[in-house]
Amino acid sequence: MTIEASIPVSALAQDPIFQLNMVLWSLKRLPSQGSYHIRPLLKEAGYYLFAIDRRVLLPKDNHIVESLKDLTDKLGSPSPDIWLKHEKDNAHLIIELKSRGFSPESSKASQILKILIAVADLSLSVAAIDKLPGHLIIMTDNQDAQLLVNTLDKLKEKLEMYDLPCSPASVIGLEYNNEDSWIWDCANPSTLPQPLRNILSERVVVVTHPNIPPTDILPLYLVPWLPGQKGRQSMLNSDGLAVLTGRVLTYVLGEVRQASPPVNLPLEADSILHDATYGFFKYWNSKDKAILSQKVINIISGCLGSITLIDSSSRRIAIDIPLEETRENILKAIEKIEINNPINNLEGDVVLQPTLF
Amino acid sequence: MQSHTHYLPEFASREDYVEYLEGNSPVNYPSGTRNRHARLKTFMLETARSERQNRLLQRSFPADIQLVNIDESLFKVKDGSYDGKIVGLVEVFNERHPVFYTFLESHTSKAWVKKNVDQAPWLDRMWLSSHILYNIWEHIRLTVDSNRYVGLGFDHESKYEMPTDPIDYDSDNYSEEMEDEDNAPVTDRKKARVYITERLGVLDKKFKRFSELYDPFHSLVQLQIPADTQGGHRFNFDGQATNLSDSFVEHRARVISIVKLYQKLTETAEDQLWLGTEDVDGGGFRLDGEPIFIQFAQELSEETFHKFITYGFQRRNSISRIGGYIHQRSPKRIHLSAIDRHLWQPFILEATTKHILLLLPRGTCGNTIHRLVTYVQRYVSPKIDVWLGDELYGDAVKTAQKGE
Repeated sequence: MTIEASIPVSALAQDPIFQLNMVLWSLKRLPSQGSYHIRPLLKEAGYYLFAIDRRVLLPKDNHIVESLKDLTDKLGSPSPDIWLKHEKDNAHLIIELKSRGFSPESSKASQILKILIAVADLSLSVAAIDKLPGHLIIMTDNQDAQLLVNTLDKLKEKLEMYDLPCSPASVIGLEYNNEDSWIWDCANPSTLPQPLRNILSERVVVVTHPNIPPTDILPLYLVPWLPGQKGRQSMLNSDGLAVLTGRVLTYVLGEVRQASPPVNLPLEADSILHDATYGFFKYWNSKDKAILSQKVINIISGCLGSITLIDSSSRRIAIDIPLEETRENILKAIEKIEINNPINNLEGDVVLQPTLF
Repeated sequence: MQSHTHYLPEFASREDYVEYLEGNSPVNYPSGTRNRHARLKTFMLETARSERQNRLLQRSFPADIQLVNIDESLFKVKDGSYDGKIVGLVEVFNERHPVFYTFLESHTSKAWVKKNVDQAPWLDRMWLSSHILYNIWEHIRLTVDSNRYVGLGFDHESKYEMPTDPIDYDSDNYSEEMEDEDNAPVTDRKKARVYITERLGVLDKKFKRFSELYDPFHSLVQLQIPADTQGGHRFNFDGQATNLSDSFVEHRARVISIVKLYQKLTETAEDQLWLGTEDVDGGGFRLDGEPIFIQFAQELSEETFHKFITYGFQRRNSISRIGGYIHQRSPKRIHLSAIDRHLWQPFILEATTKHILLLLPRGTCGNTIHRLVTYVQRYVSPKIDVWLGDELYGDAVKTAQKGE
């Protein structure tokens, strides 16, 4: 599927999956020469990926706990999106990806407030003895970057009023310019941590697309889709699901071809999804896992029909393969699945099977 | 019809077979053509490394192939379709790289491997890319007498530049086809197959100039190394080696050194490049994995690119042996949820008119890299730059060689 020119590129700048992939690619080891069009800017700055979705602990000091009760109604420790370490610098980088900016009064602000407190000293979060300063980066659509800077300033003021710790914080805006490039633009460069100061003090091109149409703007997805991304632009969501469907089906093809007939081949949807998402599936919540697993079973059974036997309770399907000829026919049938058609792919509707417990 | 003399005799011990292969046995050596004995062919193979695929070697071969232990690492290969005769031996230097020795005639041995390895999802050949062969050449040129003869073979055919549908015929039949004047294919595209035998000292001075003058000279597909006394050992890109010397043990020693280099290179690449998540202590996870990047020296035309994608990745019997689900991003770029049609292992790939980028999920055989590099150089772009992450592929090969 080609993303059409009618999608405004701002939809990508606001797309959480695009943002995540862009950050992940910026940490990859890529050749310094050659036509490859993503600049591994964070890798160049010396950062490497420590964790995705890892909790940062809020201090349990009475003063902090009491103050937080005033400031927010959710007291649990937050899990920022991305946590980076540096090869030499001791300050860790925490990155939060935000589709849009928000005001200090927004419910999203209370999450940032907690992150600012927790990231000021990460020693609790990693059980270190010495103080471990962190730095928060919020990445968003560049048109909202200044709004977020203002919000951060207000949040810092609030924390000061309560005499609470506060990590330094910067805002990086994503922008697509008319020269077919993606830009990172730091809205408050004076706040940047040392490793990023030289690289991001001015606008930086991080993705270039020489001679490629402006509509061709998606990177090779490391992560094509994640559940729970509400408000995602529908065509981007569909595209991500189509890509994920393709990856799922390649794993099904592999299982089928490696089977030796005659065999009743069991396929576990959870296992296939785990492989096709390179392990991300493991960290989804149970309901999201159940929905997508059922869809995988629906796709396979819809394609292969009567030779499949479904065990919905265990999210497993068995394929009867008596002969090598049957196996070849199964492979051909799966290869013919039109993954861009929502009826055939993981975007299709599923009704969860009722369970007793 | 196969000659019965190309089967191996029944011996009980490794020593007996080694003496036989050395020509020291009282049992007659198989005879070949032109009054000389048959040549031993060696096929260097690979089994999948995945932790989940801990199969016995026997089960990696089709059901009518029986491996009979001589000792813990040497097996007789009895083939039911040859009335249970011993068609060769398999030796296992390590759990990942079995080696098949055979005296079957050249076309018969190739067909045997094609049938029993190329169609088996648990076995692959070792793919000796240009970079690997070139690295071996670099070692040879520094260590062998310059008066000895070496052989270099180059091969490139710009298959996807054809004005019509490219035919996926077996390029190994090239010589026969071109000599068949009635049926030789018309070749309206770049095609170069060159084999040079020359004194090492002479080639050493000329080799670099060849590649500067003409791109197909980057696609090195065959290397013949001088033997210690006379003759040599010929290594092909597809993992086949031919013993042109008078010593099996010397040939075996050469094979071992190449298997070690290949294993080190492949496993190092896998460790560094494999894509997958790992739990992090204290919660959360990280995503490891680095890309492989292949840059073409010259951008492909859109038409050639379109044919490359259509015939290279969409056709079921494509020589690339890569298939999957294409996501067309633009006329010049595709993303592919890919599957290796030999080992049936998934991976992901981006192809543009300028490059190929791929990522191998954890458990995928790293030889996919070497095979893809070979395929690209033979059929798409003979001159390429390849990186594993941010390290040049050629440097990774050199490092692996030093690690022997």
